Amino acid sequence: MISTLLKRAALAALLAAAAVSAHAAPNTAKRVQAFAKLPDWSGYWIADSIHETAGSLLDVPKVKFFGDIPYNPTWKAQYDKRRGELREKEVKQCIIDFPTTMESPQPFMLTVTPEQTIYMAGDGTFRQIFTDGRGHPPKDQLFPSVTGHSIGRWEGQTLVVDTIARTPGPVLFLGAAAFSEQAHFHERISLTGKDKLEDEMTIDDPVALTHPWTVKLGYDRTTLIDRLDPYYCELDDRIGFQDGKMVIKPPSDAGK
Amino acid sequence: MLFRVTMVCAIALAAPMAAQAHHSYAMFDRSKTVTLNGTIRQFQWTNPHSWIQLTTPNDAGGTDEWSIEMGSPFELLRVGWTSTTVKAGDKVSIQVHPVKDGSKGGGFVSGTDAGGHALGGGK
Repeated sequence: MISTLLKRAALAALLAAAAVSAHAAPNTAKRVQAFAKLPDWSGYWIADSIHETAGSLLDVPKVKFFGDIPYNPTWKAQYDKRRGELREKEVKQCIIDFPTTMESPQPFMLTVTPEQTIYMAGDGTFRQIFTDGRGHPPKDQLFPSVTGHSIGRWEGQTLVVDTIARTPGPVLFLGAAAFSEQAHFHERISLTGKDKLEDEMTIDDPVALTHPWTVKLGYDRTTLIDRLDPYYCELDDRIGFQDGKMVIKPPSDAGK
Repeated sequence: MLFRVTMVCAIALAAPMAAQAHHSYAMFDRSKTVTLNGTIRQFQWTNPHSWIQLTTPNDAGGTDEWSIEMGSPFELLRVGWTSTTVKAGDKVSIQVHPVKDGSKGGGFVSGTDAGGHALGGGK
C-alpha cells in the first residue's frame, strides 16, 4: 500500500516537473532576435475601401475585387452575367475566399511570428503565410483551398507573399472576382504609417486575365473593437431558404 | 394611429450591387420604403447581421412583429451605432425596404428615436 502511494507520488512529481518544464521552456536567443526584427502589426485592421451604412446593403464602388478587372472576353462575360443575376436572384454564399477576404467589411488580425504570419478575419477566414523557408508542396500533395497555399519571406519590414492553389472560380463569394486554377498571387505587405497597412497585390492568371493585374489594398488599424466576434454563417445568419425561397428565420426566442 | 404603418413608393434606385455580402438583396423590394412606427422588442447585436425586432400595431387591434436586418456589429460601430443605441421599450420610427412576399421583414434604411433624432447619427 505504501509502495503504491509512493509510486503514485513519484509519478505525480514527475508529471508536475514535466509540466513545469514544458511551460518554462524559454524562446531561444535566436528566436527572440528574430521576433525583435518583425514589425508591429498587432491590433485589428479594416479595409479602407469599405463604406458602411447601418443597413446591410453596401454600395462599394471602390472595392477592387468587385470592380473593373482585366478579364479576357470570355471571363468578362461570365463575371458580368453573375453580377447581373445577383440583382434579382435569391442566393446565399457563405464561403469567403482569398483574395476577396482581403477586402471584407469584417475586421481581421495578423499574428506575426518568425515562422509564419497568421491572418484571421472576423468571419472565420484564415490564412497561414509560412516564413520558415519552406516552399510550396509538390504538385501531388497540393490540393486547392479557398485561401490557397502561401509562403513568404521578409524584405526588411515588408512581407513578400506568394500564393497558389486557390480554389478556382466561378463562384466563391457573391459577385466577387473569380480566378482560374492557374492564378498566382504576389503580395507585398507593409506599414505605410503608424496605423496604416498596405497590401500591394499582383495577380497573374493567364487563363482569366489579359495581363497581370496589380491592386493596392489599404487598411486602417481600428480601436473600435478589442476582439473578433466569430460566427458560423450557415448557423448564425437569419437569412435562410425554405422551399427554394429566401426567408427570414424567426428570432431565437420566438415562441418562448 | 400614432403607430400605423406607412408605405411609401420610392423612386426606383439605380440598382447598386449587393456586393460584399454573403446573401443577395433580391428578397427585399428596393423600389419601396416602408416607415414603421413602433416599439423595440429586441436589438440583436450579432454577427453576421444585427437585427431589430420591432412591434407595430395592426388594423385588427393587435400587434405585428417585424424583423429588420442591419449590418454586422463592426459595420454599425463604424457609422456611429453601439449595442445600446436602441433598447427594448424604445419608441422609434424606422424605414425599411420590405420583403417582397409581404411577410413582416425588411432591410434597414434609416430610423429616428422618439425625439426625432437620427439613430446612430443617421449614416
